[in-house]
Amino acid sequence: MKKLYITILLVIGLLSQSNAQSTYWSVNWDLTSGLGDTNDFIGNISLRGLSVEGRYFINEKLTVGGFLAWKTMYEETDKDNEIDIEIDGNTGTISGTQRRYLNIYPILVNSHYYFKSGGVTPYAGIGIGGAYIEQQIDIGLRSIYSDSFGFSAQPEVGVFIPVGISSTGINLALRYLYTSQAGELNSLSTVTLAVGFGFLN
Amino acid sequence: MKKIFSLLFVTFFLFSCYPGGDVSVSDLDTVTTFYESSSFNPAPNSVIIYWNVSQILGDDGNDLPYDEEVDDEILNTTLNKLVALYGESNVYIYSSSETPSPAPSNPNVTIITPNDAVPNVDASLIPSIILRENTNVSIIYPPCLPDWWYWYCYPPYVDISSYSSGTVVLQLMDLRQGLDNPETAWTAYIKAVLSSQSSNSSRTVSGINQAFNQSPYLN
Repeated sequence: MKKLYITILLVIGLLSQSNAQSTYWSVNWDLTSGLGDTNDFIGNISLRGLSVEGRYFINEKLTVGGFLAWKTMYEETDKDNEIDIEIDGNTGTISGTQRRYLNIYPILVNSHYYFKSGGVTPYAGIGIGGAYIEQQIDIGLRSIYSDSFGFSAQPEVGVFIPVGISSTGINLALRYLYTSQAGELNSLSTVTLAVGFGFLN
Repeated sequence: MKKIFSLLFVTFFLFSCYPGGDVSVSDLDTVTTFYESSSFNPAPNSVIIYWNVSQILGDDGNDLPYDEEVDDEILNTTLNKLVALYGESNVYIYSSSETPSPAPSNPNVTIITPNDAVPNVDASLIPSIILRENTNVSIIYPPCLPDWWYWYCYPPYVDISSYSSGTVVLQLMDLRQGLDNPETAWTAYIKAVLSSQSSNSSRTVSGINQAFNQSPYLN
């Protein structure tokens, strides 16, 4: 009886160990900067971004999940900034203060590997999916709008830092987002520093 | 609950600093130039400027009166840029009188009147202006708000806004195919929302300068 009791306790202990972390959720404030052509279009670092993700542990160190984000990027150019134009076969140039906007909405499925369990937990992963992008240029009294939905990939490294002994903590992540050329818009590259709350369940 | 608070916090932060607030009237200025590449291969070497700003009128009654408020800025800024491009000896002023008004900023430029022989020039530059009262009409749908026991939706209303705009047009005509066969070589549209007289004047000058600066093929 005693052996059975100890065995049951061991099994429960093992089960509880394997189920100690079943999901990981995070809500983040995203600070984003464009790279390459995206940086040429908007060079400012955007402080306006939000991302939410959920991950499910398929074993102790590996998760699969989903990722949603919304980033807005904005820049106002100098008055003398020029754009080459062609209208009805006429070649020319337009200049004036441009107000440039990018709204980026990535929707990804992802997988992450956790390098350790418990305590400060670094991780790395990748997300794949698509991103809906809205681009707008306001110049003078005119507005030029384009949108597209392109293929996206997002490698990521990060760390979960628990606060005290709770399952809640700080999530820090560095993400690179690439979205392919689609419609009238060129490919997009951004790097994001995400700072937020993480919740292990 | 923690997740909801976190979400609310970040969402509030996002909305609280969305860009696109104040826009000064000069931020709405645009300079657009078009050119015919064949007219600049080679570029003209001499030009005559018509010393008069004509007003282009529409037929819908939305034109504003023009009392030559920025004639000086249009004509003399353009003259200065032409002299810088082609040299004093290759720029002419075509005026209805021997004492043009406004007075040319460069006294060394030759003045041609209707009584003089037409010089053999490659191009002519014609300045003009368009002044318009623009009206936008749109229907605004206010949001619905919660009342004591039901949602109250304010009725939509019609919003009418208007603004005055001015466009200075500079048109360079290629005369090398003959005076009876001029071709438009270059056109500049300097468009702005009208403001105070001093603001309109300074923005006219900077707009004309920008039109020439963004057209390096002119000489």
